[in-house]
Amino acid sequence: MVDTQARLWTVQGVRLDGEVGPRLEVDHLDITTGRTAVLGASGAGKTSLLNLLVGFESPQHGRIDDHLPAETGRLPLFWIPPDGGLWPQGTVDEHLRAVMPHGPQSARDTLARFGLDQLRNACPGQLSAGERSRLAVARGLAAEAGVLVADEPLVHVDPARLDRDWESLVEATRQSGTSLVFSTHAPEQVLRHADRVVVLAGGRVTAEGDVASLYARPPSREVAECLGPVNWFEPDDAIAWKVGDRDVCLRPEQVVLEADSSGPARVVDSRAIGAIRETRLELVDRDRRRTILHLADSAPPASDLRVKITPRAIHG
Amino acid sequence: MSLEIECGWTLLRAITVSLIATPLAAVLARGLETGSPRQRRRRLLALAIPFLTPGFVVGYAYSNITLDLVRQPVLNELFYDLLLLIGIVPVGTLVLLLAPPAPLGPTADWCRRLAGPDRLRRVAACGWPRGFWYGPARNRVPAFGLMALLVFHEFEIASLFRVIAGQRLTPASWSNALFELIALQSLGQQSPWDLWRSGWLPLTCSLCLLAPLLVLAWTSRRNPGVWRPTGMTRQSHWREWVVSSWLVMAVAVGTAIPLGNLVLDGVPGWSSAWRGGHRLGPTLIHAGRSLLPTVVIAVVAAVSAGWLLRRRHLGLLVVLSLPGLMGSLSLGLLLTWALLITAPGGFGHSIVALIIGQSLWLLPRAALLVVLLAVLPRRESMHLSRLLQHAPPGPQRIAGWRMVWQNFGHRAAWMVGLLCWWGYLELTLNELLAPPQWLSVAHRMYQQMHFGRNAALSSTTLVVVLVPLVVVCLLVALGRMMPVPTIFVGSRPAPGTLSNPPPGDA
Repeated sequence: MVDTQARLWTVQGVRLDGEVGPRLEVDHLDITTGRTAVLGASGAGKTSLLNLLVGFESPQHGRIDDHLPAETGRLPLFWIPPDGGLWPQGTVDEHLRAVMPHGPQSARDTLARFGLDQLRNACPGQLSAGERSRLAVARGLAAEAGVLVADEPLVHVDPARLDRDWESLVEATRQSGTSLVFSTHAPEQVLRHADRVVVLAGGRVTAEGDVASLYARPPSREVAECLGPVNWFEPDDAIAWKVGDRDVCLRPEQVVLEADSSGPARVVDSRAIGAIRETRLELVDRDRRRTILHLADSAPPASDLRVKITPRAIHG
Repeated sequence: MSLEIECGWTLLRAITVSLIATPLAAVLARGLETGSPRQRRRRLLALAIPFLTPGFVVGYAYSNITLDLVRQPVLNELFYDLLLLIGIVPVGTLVLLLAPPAPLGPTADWCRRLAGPDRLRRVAACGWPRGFWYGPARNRVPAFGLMALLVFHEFEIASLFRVIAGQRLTPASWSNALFELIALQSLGQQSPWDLWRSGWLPLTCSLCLLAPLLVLAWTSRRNPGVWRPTGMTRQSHWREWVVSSWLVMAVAVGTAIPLGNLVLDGVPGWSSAWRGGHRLGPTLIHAGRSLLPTVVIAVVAAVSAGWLLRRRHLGLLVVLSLPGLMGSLSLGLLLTWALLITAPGGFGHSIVALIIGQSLWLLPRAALLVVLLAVLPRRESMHLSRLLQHAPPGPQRIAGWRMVWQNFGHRAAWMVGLLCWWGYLELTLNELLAPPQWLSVAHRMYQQMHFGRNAALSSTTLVVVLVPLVVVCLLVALGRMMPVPTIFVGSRPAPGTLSNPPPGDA
């Protein structure tokens, strides 16, 4: 088991300059053992933060103290860079054997887990983008480091096997007691695999903490949107739609549209997108519309139906 | 000294200077990747200026120092090497900046470091030597080769610096030795065998130095390299310091001091030249005459390079660039032999021979400029401008022509201008191929520089150097001062139209 309390890095007063301004500005941030996700839109500073953690880049200001486990015989840190960082001259098999801790041995199991066992003698130039992504992850796991930093791992992997490969990655780190710090755009992978999350926007940390807490009670609309589909109501909106009197965050699974002849809104139209339904509502007494996301677990509401939005609590 | 010994010394110098220049160029290339676009443009300009400064001007400006150092040949050699270093570092930096990224990218290299040497050593394919070859060496070796080739072929400064020290001429220069042996003595009377006997050694050395560049051209076609993360160049204070210091020193020593020297020496002589009228007038006419063929030559080289790159005939481009990369003397002797000896009479010393020779000599530079200045626009943007040109007469059609100029025209003009500059100042091919009435003014100046410095020569040289610069300045000023033609008015908002939109747009 990984101790989820111990600190791995302490980032203090760090600034990393870019071409048109700072790429990253962090006053204070602790990265702890366990599984930490770094989340944010493109250009938010995810790669910059991870580059600093692994030492690939150095900050212009501030400092990063590492408290990486210094166990004898164990690699303290390894990295899955955004471009894979593969060695063009090595075969798939050699990539894994070069980093394994106990001498050149068969990497067959790891390769099979990521569907690379038929490509053992291929070089990176002969692999597809998805295969290269999987090789980078397989090599990261083969290193059996104390901490594995993964920058958008498995990004080019096809959706059919994406969840399976994520499971393999997380399960392997769990078995070897490796802490995982990963960045991603996909909120579902964060919800599924991370203990903690750091949300970045414009190079700054906008939220950090326990994933479940931040999912249920995000401090801002931006953070809420990072963690998945959301119905966010500003205070005046919340009053108008009769869901509260301040900022209200309702996840799709928290929303029930109840037919109510005295409800504040009427249905314009509705469509299901997978498990989620998008229903456009219009306020009865005002010329104002908005789309409400809710679960597609019931029949679509009829057009012109008067409804009210009923929040319900998230369980588990 | 025999030609073989001179060749050996020149090769040793080429390797030594390039070994120093390669890491320096790598630092400069990294430095030029950081900073704001404006800062980068300034630095790129500062980097290019010493390379664009004519070698014979530098040699002439410092020739008095060489005379002072006649008893210290080592210092003379070191000073010459410094000037060479200043001249070639821009080329190496540009090669490193323009070359495709190495297959082993920076992230892959960092993964190697994180894994540690103990583990990597177990798998030979992932060990240090192969990592080096697939990584830093991939672009630095060709940059080294090209810089060494330039040093190996340099003769303008060497020729003006050459003094007798003890039993030998220093600095050693195979070009000067060979030129003295063949070109000046019995040009045209040599048999092919004599030419080969004299030229095989420098030719072989040139090919060896050129080989890494050809390897790069070949491997980069097969392996386009990896994605290079942008904005990840680590800023470092010491690199900033090295870049700034080097650029200041290079511009000062490589350009400002020689040109300043020429101005201080030459400007006082201008008044007498004006009064006498016997020097300035003919010099200006001669300079103008020299510019005419170079414009044709520059256009031929630019069009050829652009066509070969656009059609992706890279193999043919490499083959045609080889003679130019082998240096003007090798190329000149080859063409002299081919045209003077084997071709029908009269074709050798002709303007056609000069155009062929200088075009081939300029072709590799033209290809470099096509890539550097992005002269070839993206096919999509050119197609878009063509579509706009088919619009009915009006703002859209004008916008199409303007796009052609913005995407292609003004860059191509600067490219031709630079090629003209090099062609105008070229010496060896002029000497070997030009008919007497077309001998360039730069060549005439250079011949006189061997007899020492004087105010009249400095003033004439200054005029010779300034003529093309003045022409460029006049053309640029003319372009800016031209009133906006009436046909353009429709495509630009007239004053006040933005603040007073027509009814209905509000």
